[in-house]
Amino acid sequence: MPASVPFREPAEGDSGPDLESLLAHVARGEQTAFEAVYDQVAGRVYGLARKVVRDPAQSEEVAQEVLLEVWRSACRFDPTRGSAMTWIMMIAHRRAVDRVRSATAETQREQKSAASSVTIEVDEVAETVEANLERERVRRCLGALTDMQREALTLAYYGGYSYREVGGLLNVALGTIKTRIRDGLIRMRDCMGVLS
Amino acid sequence: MKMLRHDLHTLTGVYALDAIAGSERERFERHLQHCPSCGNEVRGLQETATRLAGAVAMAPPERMKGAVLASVARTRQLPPPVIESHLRPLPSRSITWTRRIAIPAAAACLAVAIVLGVLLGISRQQLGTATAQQREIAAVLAAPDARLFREKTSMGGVATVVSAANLHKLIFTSTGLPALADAKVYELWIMGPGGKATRAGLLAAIAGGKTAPVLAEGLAAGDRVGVTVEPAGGTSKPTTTPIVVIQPS
Repeated sequence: MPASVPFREPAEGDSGPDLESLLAHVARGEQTAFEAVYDQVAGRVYGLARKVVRDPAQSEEVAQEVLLEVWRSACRFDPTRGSAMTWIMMIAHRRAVDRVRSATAETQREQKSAASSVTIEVDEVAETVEANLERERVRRCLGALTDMQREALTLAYYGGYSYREVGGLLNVALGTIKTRIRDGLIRMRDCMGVLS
Repeated sequence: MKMLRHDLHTLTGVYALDAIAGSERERFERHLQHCPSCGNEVRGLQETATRLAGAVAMAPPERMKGAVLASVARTRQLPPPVIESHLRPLPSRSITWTRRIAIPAAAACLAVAIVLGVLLGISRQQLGTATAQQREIAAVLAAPDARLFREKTSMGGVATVVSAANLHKLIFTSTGLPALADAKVYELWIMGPGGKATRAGLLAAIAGGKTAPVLAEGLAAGDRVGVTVEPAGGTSKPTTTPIVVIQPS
């Protein structure tokens, strides 16, 4: 088979068709399929947890919870509602946000550190080519937003704030924040070539 | 507080980013059930958020994998939602939805991203410390004719090649290749149209099931790129069937 592998232009992003079919195997209890899913998504899950939660130990806990959740509820993944990667990253973001929102009662997070999340840090570590491609595309598309859109969007997604909190932080009316986030995301969507 | 429909519709963005909570979230979810256009918009924006997540990916600590696999082995899975699927038959066209968007999106965006993107990142952030090899890799990624190819291997995992035909260079990287016994190694080859294979380097494993990018030179039109499993240290010609072959042109 290898010598005659059919050639085709690859799909962009890691969420190629194989993640969907892997999840179908995971839903049947196949641990080897889960391991393959882990290899494809663990870096994204952990990276997002770090971005939102920041504390490495807590981020690791969140990432582990997310991956276990993927195992437990693989049969609930519905491919008609979006890609497998998106399903997993939605679980990841929700968990990370739950963690920081329950923690804010105890420790007030510094506004400053959240605001600094506006810029995307680039690891000095050797990155794979594809991670670089994705990172740079996001950087370029974020750069094409207005400053106000970018600020609202990154505070909400990377900062894990609710839009009401974003409104409070930026001292902007809630209706404006909703529109700003939606307009910014639509611009990102079009810039990144995600069709809906 | 009563919300106008228009107000509800503008919540698609904050909903896709999980930036809405409690009763407001529930109200929007009820609205979604009766608003197909909102549902479509939410899906597109959620896919967009996934890309935002991809941009901050980071290798997790090595120990995490063992910990997760151990929990998996002792955790029972949820039962499938049998009843729902009878009540709500799947529309046949939507199965391929993600696939339909993925391919044209890739074709439209890829060249631009490579040209504008990666060199900027490397040059801005890392030029001071970049090794000669990193600079060469950056040059391939920034080449106007750079193209990206991805293919599954017969041993699992995915091989990625970025080729720059005019520079006669390529970069090879992979994710998810299984670890080999100590006496074995993955070897990269450039294979000419006549079947002659030239050594192009050995793949070095790095964290998270990935291999470090390998830069190879001497790529000519019609060449293919392949990987074989060879004895440690590599060989001068392939001795096994390639686990993946990519034609980067």
